[in-house]
Amino acid sequence: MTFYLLLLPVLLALVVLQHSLGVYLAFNLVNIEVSLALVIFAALRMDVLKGAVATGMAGFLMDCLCGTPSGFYMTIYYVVFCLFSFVSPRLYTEERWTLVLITFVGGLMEGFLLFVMSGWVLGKDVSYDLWRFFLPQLVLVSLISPFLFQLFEVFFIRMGGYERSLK
Amino acid sequence: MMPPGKYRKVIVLSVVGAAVVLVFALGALRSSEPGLIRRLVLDVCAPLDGILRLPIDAMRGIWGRYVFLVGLEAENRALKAQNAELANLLIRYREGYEEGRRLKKILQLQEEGAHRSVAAQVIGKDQKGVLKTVLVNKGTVHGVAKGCAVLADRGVVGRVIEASWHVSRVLLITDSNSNVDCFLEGPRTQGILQGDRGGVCLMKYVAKTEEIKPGENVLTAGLSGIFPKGYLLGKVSGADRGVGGMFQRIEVLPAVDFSKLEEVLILVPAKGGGR
Repeated sequence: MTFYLLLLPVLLALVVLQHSLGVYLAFNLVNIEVSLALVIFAALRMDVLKGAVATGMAGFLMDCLCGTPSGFYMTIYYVVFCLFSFVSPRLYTEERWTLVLITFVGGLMEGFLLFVMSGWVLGKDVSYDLWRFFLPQLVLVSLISPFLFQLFEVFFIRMGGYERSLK
Repeated sequence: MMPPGKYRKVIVLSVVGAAVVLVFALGALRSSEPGLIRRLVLDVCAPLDGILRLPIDAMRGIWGRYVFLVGLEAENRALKAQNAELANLLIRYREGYEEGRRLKKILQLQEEGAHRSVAAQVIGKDQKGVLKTVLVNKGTVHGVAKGCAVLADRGVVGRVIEASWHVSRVLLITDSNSNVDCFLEGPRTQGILQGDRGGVCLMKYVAKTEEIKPGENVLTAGLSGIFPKGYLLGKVSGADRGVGGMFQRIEVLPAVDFSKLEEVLILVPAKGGGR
């Protein structure tokens, strides 16, 4: 229960922080989408219910902050979560470079879904933005993903949502 | 409580997936107004973002104002010259304005007083996401509503697409979902200004027979009822007749530098309510 009570404020802080991080640490050139790493972490390391709820909430908060219609990022994150959740028993995620690769693949999936959903829901072609902003931020998030995973582990153990088993 | 065994994952994912679809459907159904939770999140996040920005904004301010002063003297000299030139121009325009008022009185035309302006600060920028938007610190309690026009000192910024109690989201004119009816100041050619990639806009539906020169001012036409007539949108940076179809491809550089946007003016309908 503690997990669900703490989840909203923690995710709120995370989503706002990632927004500010992009503006200041990356000189407003790229966003640092920490929430994507969280979604992948949730799929690989967390209990399925807790992970799914965390993913949905992170997606909803992203929708609120980015101005996209409710459910836009929620759907994208949830699809990424489901895919990784199903393949997680077959993935060895203890190596750093495996985590980098997995996050990169997850980001590519998100990019593809962003492209499809933007065309379908918003009637927009975001291919330029994907190339100009999304790809650099994906590389950045992938490279720092092992550190982010360690941070999430510490955090979610305290919140009671962490499940280290290999399922 | 939880379904045990090997089907637990499938059941949990299906249930949460159904909830996601439900939120998506509800969001699509009530796209005109942000829901209560969305408003709450916007109102909570904006101050949080502001707090996080405080120390770095302060550092940036000190650097810009007191340390990095290269070229300041030259800029000051140029601004003084420009100021003198503009002061002369202002006197001439004031004369014209007074003359127009007198003529209006004679013709018994009503003065345009449909809007009052609300000054707001930019508290968040998202120009790298799916939508090119900025957040401002005024909301429905200040009279701001969906559809209000937003201006800066140099020209048009965009329009409000979402408003919570104390925060509003402004869709920039550089977003591809933004369409503003406009005209060219010199030749009075009308068209639609649409956002394009790379922070520029395109003026659409201008026939190939029109002679368009780079540097021409693009102003709001005031036909849609969102933007009043005559506000500066940008300048023509290039026109190309070479592409197929009936119309030219006219690139417009926005008058406002959105990366440096700090304060804006929101035009609120004088009698309340949005459009």
